[in-house]
Amino acid sequence: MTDQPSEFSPADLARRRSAARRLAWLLGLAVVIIYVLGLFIKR
Amino acid sequence: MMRTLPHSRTFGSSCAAARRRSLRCLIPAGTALLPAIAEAEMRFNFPEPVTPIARETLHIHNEFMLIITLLFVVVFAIMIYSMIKHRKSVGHAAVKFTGPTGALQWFWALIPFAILLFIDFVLMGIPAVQAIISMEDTKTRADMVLKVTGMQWKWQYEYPEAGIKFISTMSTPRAQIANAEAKGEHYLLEVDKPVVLPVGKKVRILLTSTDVIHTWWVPQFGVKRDAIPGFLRETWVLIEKPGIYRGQCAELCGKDHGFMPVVVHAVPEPEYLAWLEQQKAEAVAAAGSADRAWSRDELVAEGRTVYDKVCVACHQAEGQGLPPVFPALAGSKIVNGPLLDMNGRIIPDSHVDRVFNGKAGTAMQAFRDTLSDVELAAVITYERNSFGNKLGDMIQPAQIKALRQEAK
Amino acid sequence: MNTATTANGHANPHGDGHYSGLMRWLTTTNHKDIGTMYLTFSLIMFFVGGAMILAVRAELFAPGLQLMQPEFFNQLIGIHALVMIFAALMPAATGFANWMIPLMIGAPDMALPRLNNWGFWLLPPAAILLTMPFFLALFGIGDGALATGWTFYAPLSVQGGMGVDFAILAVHILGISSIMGSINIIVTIFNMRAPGMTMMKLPLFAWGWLITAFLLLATLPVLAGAVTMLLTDRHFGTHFFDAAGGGDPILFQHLFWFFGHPEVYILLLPVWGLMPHVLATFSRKPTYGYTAQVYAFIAIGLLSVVVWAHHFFTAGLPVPALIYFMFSTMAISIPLAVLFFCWIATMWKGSMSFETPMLFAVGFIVLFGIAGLTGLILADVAADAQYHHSYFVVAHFHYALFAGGIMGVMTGVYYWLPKWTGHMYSEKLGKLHFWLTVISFNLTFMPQFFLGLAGMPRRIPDYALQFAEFNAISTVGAMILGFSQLLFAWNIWSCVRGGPKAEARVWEGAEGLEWELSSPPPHHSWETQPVIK
Repeated sequence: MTDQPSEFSPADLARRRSAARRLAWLLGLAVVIIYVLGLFIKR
Repeated sequence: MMRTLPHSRTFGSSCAAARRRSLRCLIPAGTALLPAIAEAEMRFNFPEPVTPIARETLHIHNEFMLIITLLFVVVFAIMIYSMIKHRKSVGHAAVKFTGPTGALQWFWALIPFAILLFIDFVLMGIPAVQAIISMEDTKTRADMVLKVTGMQWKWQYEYPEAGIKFISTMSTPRAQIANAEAKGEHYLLEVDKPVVLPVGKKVRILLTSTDVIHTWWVPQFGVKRDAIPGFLRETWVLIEKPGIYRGQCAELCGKDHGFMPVVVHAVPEPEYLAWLEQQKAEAVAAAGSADRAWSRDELVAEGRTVYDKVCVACHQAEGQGLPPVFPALAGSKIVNGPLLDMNGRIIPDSHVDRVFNGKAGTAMQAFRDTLSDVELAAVITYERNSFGNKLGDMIQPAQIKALRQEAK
Repeated sequence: MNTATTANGHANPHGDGHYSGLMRWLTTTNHKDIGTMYLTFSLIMFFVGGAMILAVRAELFAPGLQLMQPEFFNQLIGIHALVMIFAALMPAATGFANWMIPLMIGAPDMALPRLNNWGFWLLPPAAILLTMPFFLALFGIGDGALATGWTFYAPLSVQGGMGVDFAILAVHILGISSIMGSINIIVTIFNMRAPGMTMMKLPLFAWGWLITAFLLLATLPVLAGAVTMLLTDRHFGTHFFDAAGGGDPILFQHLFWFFGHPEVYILLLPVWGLMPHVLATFSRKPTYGYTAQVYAFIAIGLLSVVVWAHHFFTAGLPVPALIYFMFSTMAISIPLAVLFFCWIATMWKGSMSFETPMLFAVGFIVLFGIAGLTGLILADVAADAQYHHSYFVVAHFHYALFAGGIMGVMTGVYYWLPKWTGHMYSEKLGKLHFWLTVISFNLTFMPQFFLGLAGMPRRIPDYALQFAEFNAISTVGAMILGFSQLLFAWNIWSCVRGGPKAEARVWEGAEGLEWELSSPPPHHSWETQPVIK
């Protein structure tokens, strides 16, 4: 499978990691929103 | 697995005796188990149904067990066949396919799901919907109402039309539970005062609770319903056969969850009516006795019975409690405090207040509505003059009656 | 843990670790180290939770109270469940994810390594919080641990002692840890895949975990909200669950099971993701129905959040709700059947051999089949009135969570252990462990089905005489089951310490990126980016 080995370039890695960080914050925000909304549930 | 055993089977005394012996010395499993298995008739299915719902439930259950057993056998027969035939050790070479190809293969791949859909929504679904509708139909042609109130750890039964109510607690002695005495035939499934219901009548059962959630369950009725504090839930039974039916609380409700049985005596209607009349007469007598003056000894004697039934689970036989959760009454500041204020009213957080109104957020419940005037007066007097508490005072049932009216 | 350190034998001992000894493990951001810590923690807690339930089973060996009082019994059953679910099963799955997902998708590490470290180190304090009230009670502080069962049902939990507060706090911390782990797994899968690794080439294990992670993100905040409300009800005078103040105890059940039902699939999806890898490997045949399995995962994930009320059919729901929840629950059987179909079709006409992981996989399929089928009839409202709150349910969910969850994890451990350690485990001990586990598991839980049918409620410390025989059998089974797990621990321990050298491709039929790397893999996996064909 490793036909054409190519290095993970530092720039590429940095780009991927910052994209991952942004997404992580977004998901974290969603979690907090669900939690807060939950406190206002009435039946 | 499908076999229905006759329900009337109970443990013969010889069997119970054998168990008692093995209990005391806890014979290692290997030796104790084999004779026990040989001797006991183990039950593999629901007990004999005695209501239309229970019959329907058993029928549905048997049908479903048949279906899932068949599914299990067919699916795993295919797998086991493959495991035997398609092994490396018998020289089977792997065929490389990763999905259905062609119309025929797709057809065979989809057939199992069509069958499953049919089982889910037709074979199982339709009888299930019918059963739900009949289970939840509590109001049509109900002949009488029984109100069941769960409380830690006993049941209160009320017949609203007849105006009687009573508390039913487990009567198995604690000594049997602690293995100090031989266990009786109906160990843990016996009560001091069973609820009595007529056979052949549709009984609408209303359920609630005074403290935490309990669940009223009698397996032979096929009925299980939660008793939820502050809400009414309902279900119904129509018992078809006279007998004594036993069940238990099914929702974890604290310390003595395992010790709040349900016992129902189903009797023919005339017998039920006679019982009802007798209960009414007793209630009238009890109400009358609230007006007369009681002596302290009388109250203490009556109080001991009430205490042993209602209070002992938490505050224990010697009033020592189970600190820190269940406080001791012996030497308690509250119990040994003043009885009432100078105007004969309840002092907040006093002994009478606790027994009347309970303590929010703890297992101490309000007994104002669950105990009678006599019972309240008796138990308060008893607690103030027992366990080393020597207040020497007492409270009269008539005073309780007055306090009740004041509260209204 | 220190033994695991030396045994991992990293190819690059200098790596990013600037410390040695304990500090190395405290500060590590390496996905393999963190995976190892998760798995070690999980194994320890598996024995902690197991010891609790063995005490319970010993008490239930015969009628009467022999060993403990009901208060303590109630504490043991609840903490057993919380420990097994949150501290044994979930960390094991997270450990798998940490170790294997970067290897499988060709990433150098997890996307957020420091978050990863934090996620793990929240676990030990939470486990301590959960179990500490037991020890505090020994010194006369408080009245012991949570005694409400793991479900925390209000108002029992409002009434409970300080053990409830400890458990609420512990659940919050465990929840935060799981959420951080899930976020990390999601962003790793989305952002760190090697070029050419499209979503539909993603290994099924990663797919299973991806769905699990989304379920965790959607449902854990709801659990956290519910227990926060419980905390404010207990201490700050709110009345969310108190009818006297306008609240509703059943609201708690809705909130709890909105989390609690998906939780079952949270525990099982990683295992379902793992199964096709193991079955394909030992059948020497590619996975059958990859796409179908991916869609089945997604379907189960979606369905799992709309079926919660089947956990309290007896609470008195309106008829339309009963019918809806019954049919939506039954609908789950369809995607689940897709999985079973694909598993068996993967084995069909393969060239099978039965090493320990394959034995566990097959055992898993059969026993989990029993869980699935009994689950189908439990969905039926009418019959559920009899099964509910009884030992039938206890047996059912142990078939799901022990045979489905724990045996699934064992499959994974045996399958990947040579990859992790570089050594082969003892096949003989592994097989012995398998047979002891399967036989004693059935001996433990099959009688419980019959107990439930005969009418024995769950969570009772003592029982009527007619239940004695089955309980005795069940206890004997549980003791064998519990003690045979020592073989498992011993086998892992000796495999970590040494053993025959494992090849890069440990199993003859193994396919996938993770088998391209040496066993054990270098400290930094995939410094050279793999290219996916």
